[in-house]
Amino acid sequence: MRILIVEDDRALGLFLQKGLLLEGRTVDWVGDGDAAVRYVSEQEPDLMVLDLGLPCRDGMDVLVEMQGRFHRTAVLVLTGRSQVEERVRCLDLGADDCLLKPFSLQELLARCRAILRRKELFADPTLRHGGVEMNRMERKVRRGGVEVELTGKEFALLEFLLQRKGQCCTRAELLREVWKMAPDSATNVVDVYINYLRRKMSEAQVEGDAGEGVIETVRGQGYRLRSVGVSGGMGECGPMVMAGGGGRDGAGGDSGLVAA
Amino acid sequence: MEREEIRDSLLRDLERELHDLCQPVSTLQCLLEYGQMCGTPEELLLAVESGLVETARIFRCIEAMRGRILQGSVE
Repeated sequence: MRILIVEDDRALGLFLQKGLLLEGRTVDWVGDGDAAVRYVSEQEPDLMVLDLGLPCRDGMDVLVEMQGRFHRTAVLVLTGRSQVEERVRCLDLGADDCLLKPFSLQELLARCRAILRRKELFADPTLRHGGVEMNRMERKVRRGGVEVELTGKEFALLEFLLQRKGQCCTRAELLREVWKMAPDSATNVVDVYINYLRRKMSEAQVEGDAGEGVIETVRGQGYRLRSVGVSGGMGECGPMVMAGGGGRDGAGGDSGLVAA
Repeated sequence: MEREEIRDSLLRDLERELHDLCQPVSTLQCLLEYGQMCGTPEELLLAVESGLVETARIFRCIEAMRGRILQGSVE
């Protein structure tokens, strides 16, 4: 889940980012309205936490600009003004929720969780990338139309990789998001399950497939799904963003606690 | 009539200053909660240091509001 914070107060922006990182989210932060519109146009984050009082273009103008265009991005508005009319206008312009300043970090985090939960419910159940299709309602995976049988954990791992749409996922992220383990856990469970997935997906190799694996290793970084039509190789991870956790991010499977 | 105008103007000014006050109070609240959630000495120290900056901002806001009320009572 990618979240954008739009807040011109440096200290507040920083601590909101830190708080959301604790929840394991990928969080970016920009300080003005123009940058917010640019970011949403390019990245379409899952959620934007939007302050109304912003330089360049205020939060209300950002909502007007976004109205009816970016359905993938939910919006939580932060406002210091107590007028009900203002909050009503924000909601009518497409905001999903409003939070009045001063607020508690715990409440903000809970509201973010609630918005993302609701968003997930209405999301398209099918994830697609690089010839792989996953229907999350039917719990079915197909590669080039051929059905692939996966275990629960393999399914969850592939789901996370599909959600990232070919962007690099670090081992720490996968440990935290898929296994709910501390990102610095001394285990190679990720590498083992990546191998399981690779094996099963290669068995579903279809006609015209060049034989390249579905999942590629990004050396020293992690793993990503190969994009169709993009040559493979050991590329770099995507744009730098702050993501929750830390610790061992490298890939390569050089620590052996789980036997493949 | 003039008295009412002064009162309305004072209320508008106070509302604006209350809005300004909300910003550092939000920041202070969030960073204290963050420090509590993390609990590490480094993050607690960062929360305290940043907290002191925010309380200075709060003091300035209170001072402005106090001045406004004093001005209003004289007028």
